[in-house]
Amino acid sequence: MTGNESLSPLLTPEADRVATCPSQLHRQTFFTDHTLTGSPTFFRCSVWIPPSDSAGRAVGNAPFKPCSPSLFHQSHFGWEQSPPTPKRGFAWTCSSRIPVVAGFFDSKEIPHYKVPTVTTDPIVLSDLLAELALRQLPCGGWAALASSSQPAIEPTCYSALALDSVPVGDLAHAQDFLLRTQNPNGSWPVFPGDDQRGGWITSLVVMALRDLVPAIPARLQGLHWLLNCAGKEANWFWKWKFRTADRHVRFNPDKYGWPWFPDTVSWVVPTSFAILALNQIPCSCGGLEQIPFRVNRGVEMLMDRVCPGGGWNAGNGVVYGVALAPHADDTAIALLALRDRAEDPVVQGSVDYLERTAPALTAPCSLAWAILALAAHRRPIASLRSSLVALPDLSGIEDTSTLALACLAIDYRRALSAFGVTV
Amino acid sequence: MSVTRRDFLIGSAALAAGATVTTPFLLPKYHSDQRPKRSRVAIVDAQQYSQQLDQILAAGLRLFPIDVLGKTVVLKPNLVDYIPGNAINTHPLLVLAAAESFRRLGAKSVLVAEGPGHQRDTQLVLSQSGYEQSLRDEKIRFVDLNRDELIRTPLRAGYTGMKPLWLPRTVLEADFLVSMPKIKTHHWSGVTLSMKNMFGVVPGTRYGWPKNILHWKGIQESILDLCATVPIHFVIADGIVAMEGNGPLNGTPRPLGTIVLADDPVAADATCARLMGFESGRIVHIREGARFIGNASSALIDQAAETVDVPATPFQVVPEFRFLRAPLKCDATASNAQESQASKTPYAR
Repeated sequence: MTGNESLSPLLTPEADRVATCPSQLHRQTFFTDHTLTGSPTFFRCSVWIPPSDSAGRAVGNAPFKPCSPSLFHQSHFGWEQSPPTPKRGFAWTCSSRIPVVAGFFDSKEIPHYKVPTVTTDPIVLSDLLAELALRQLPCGGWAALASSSQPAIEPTCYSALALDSVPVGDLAHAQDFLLRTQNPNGSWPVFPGDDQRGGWITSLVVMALRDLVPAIPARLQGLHWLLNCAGKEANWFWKWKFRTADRHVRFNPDKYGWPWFPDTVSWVVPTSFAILALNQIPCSCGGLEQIPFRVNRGVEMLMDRVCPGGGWNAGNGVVYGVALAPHADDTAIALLALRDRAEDPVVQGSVDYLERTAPALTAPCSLAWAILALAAHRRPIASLRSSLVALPDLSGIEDTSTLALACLAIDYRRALSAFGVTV
Repeated sequence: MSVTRRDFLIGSAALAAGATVTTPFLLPKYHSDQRPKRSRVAIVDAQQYSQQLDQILAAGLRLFPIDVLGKTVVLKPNLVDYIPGNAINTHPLLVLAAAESFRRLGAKSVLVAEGPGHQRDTQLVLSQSGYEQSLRDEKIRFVDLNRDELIRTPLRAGYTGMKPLWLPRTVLEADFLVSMPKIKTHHWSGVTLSMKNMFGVVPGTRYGWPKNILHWKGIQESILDLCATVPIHFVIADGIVAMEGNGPLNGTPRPLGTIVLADDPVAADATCARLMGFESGRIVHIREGARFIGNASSALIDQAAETVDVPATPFQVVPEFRFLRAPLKCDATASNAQESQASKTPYAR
């Protein structure tokens, strides 16, 4: 397949819709999505991006800049219309308003295939996944920022979850990176080279490696570390201190969860992630008998730290008698962990808060978490997803964790499954 | 009286044990004395956030012999969270004015860097507080210090007893670091000024939100260790609308109508504390910082532009910090005398 083959333009209503899509399509690496009916077979897609003139218009059939072909899994896309006649070397083009015009679709050994209804979501998703794949470092991990080359565990976990079952990026290499970086005590560091005491990130790694059979021993070690890790207020001395001398922050020290790092108190986000990770374990046996107890304590802690009007921030609901405002992302992560308590009034009130707040969110990270949490609690999310994919320059987000979270939010059903949340 | 060999050995052991116990309290907790011989502070009148800040700040900076030609300037504002109506963050117009001024002074690059300590979604704070659009319009790069590349950095003071900290590359490699705090009270540390503002360089991904390890190690101690390790080259403090009461998030806006510029963070914070009606010598990190980071005594500070005008009503604080408030109608001499006395008090927690 080369870029010299003649292109037969095919302007469909779907393609017209693409042409009016937001400007991030200018960065589109993959134009559209095809798949096979039947078994989950992959197709290959190559796209050429022609140069544009000073006004941003595509320049006719000028030489195209080839992009690396990638593979997509059919589970990412939904089809609605019957296909036109398939043919080998099929090319698609788009309106000249978008300089992303042509795709060749290799149909080798394919009995028949359908043309998809091209909607914005899968296009943006494929674009974001491609960008995510491009950011993978040679070591297999991802850096926190696009401009960085220092691998970090958090973006690697989100990226591994986003790329799971999608044949772009090197997922196996990413999983291998995670396994290589485990601390001797079973925890994970924030990044390779960090001290070996471990931290909150351990919960995320346990979830990111959930389907990998060779990772079972490592996950078990991680789970044991999580069970042995608790907020400092779990200790009788600090419990006493918070009951008697240090009472400016309203909380019940009997209800503890997990800290960001050992030797500090419990906070909402690490506790929520730990609950999600521990809830993925089907049985509490083989040294994991403490799971139900710790999960219950963690849930109680979350309920205790809720902000008076619903929702959560880092974990300080009331300080010096003043109610602090909740944060959308912290609230959403807590709500994912509390999916099993959906009927609780505290949870309901927090879902209501998030539902009220989410439409005004302009930052992709908070918006992505809000979509996942509201979907988990069966609230409508269609308009939020539209808002997310319409954010300008989504694939240019500097923060790689946010980029991966955007992918997970667009593909929210699979993401919730990855977090062990059943809807 | 004869001393037996047994008495001698017991006495020697007791002496050695006593020395072992007391030596850490007697030795300095800092590695080197970084204080300049004299410091310079300028209190510039600015009544509101407007486009005029460009000229006001440029005029203020001309009072200092600043050399940023060909250098990388990092502006570190105080950007914590966004609550409508609360004067929490350094105003973006002041940051833009600073960026423009340093560009005009020949800086190779000017960027804004911060790692919010309360809100994890940095982009949300940037967006809500008006930074995102402003920085984009002016083509100023922002670095999220919570997620920047990290470098293991030995601390140059030992107040916390912490091992080396992981600190952001952007800050460590800056040629000229400008701390741009909001002048505020703080319910854990009394005040949050240019030195406390450095908590924002501690990466949240490594130390959590809030940066809880610093609280457990002691807020005042952590401020000292950080400021000894990451030198602040200049201070531009936003006191146009400050905050009093239950800061740093839920305090009350308090118009001060000033911008405080300084080439020394201790001098800047001591001056800001006086502007707030506080005895700077009662603030531990200022008092202790005056031993090795900078100058807090008025005698060692060259005052430019306006004079320190102690407010008739000191800033409101939470009850634990009422002791910070200076006596009404205190004069500079009395204040200095108290401060001098306070600075002789050994460091204690």
